[in-house]
Amino acid sequence: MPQLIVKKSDGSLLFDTSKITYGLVKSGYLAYSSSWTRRTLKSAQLDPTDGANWTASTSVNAPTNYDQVWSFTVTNAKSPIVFLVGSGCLNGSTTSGTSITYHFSNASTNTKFYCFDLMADNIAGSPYLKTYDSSGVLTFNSLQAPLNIAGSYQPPGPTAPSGAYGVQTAYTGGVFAGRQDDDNVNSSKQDCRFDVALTAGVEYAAYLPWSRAASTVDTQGPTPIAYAVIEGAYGRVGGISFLFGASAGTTLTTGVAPRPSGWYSVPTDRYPVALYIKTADLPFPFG
Amino acid sequence: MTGITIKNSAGKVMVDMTMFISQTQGSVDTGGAAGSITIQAPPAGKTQYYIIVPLVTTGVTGKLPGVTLSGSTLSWAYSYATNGWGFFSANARIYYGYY
Repeated sequence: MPQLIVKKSDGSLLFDTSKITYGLVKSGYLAYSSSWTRRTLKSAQLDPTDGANWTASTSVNAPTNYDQVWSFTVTNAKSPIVFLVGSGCLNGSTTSGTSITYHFSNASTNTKFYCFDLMADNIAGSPYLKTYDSSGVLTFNSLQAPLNIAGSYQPPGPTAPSGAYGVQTAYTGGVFAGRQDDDNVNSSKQDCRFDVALTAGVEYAAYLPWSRAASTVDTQGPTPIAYAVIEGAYGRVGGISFLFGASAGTTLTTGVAPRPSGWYSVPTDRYPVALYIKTADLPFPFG
Repeated sequence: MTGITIKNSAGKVMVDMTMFISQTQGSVDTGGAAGSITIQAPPAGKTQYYIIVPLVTTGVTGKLPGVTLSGSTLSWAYSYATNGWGFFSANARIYYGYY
């Protein structure tokens, strides 16, 4: 097998071209795409655990209402992954031809994305160093900024359920963070956020490979409501943060008083691990 | 210092092989069902990680597996409400590697 192996003077491995590397394919700001209406139970006597008993969510153009969704599209990607600087919870992706569009709730147009993919021989320019494995698959292309993971972090578990309704804080040590408080059951949102301090003054981006879901009771407005929340992770200057925030197109339940504001049914059987990178050496915007 | 650096025509450093670069070691497809595999250990001094990429259009109903990496065991499972919600287990490729 042809390969280039770079080691430090102490013998520890720096680079092995027989292993495929991820490279940056696109970076930029998320853009508002649409808002997804919340789903309500069709009739009060119906079983709320049956999804068929809820209205459908529709996608509308209403930037201040419902569950706003911010998106970006990457084309010709093989196995892309997305790191964020600034809040966002991945709610899914849609594929159309060779394009993949990612949809985030609890984000903004200030949220930056860094999309990486398996390196490929599809970028013009020179000079370059390209390496291939023995089957001819490109493993490294110096025309792309390589993924260089700085570290990983598993968020803490929730607090124990307390009181008559089992309310929790979604992360032990997490804080309540209101996101949208407008006396509107269709758009009120709150987060439980957990901050991880890293090196001060350094901007990080974070990627959460998979997420958990839970529910929240939101008493910001005059009508207490319950809705689904989804987990996210993002980087910022000086650290990374985890959050549980409103799931886009969530189910919406009113009449939940006297349940206290907080989080409910937070999964504890397994936890995702966020990866984080430093953004300083990555081109932005790019691609 | 060992290593090589590569700059583009504008003089920007694109590759600095005096630093650590994250690399994939392999991948496994879930087939939309729970499972686990044993993966090879990382080189000395490296930390292993995993990433998950869906192989199908997830829309908003396709669910990715919850993945855990414990020692040399990479395991995954799907978990979601099934009654009338339309959720499904999205076939996904789990890449694992080291940084």
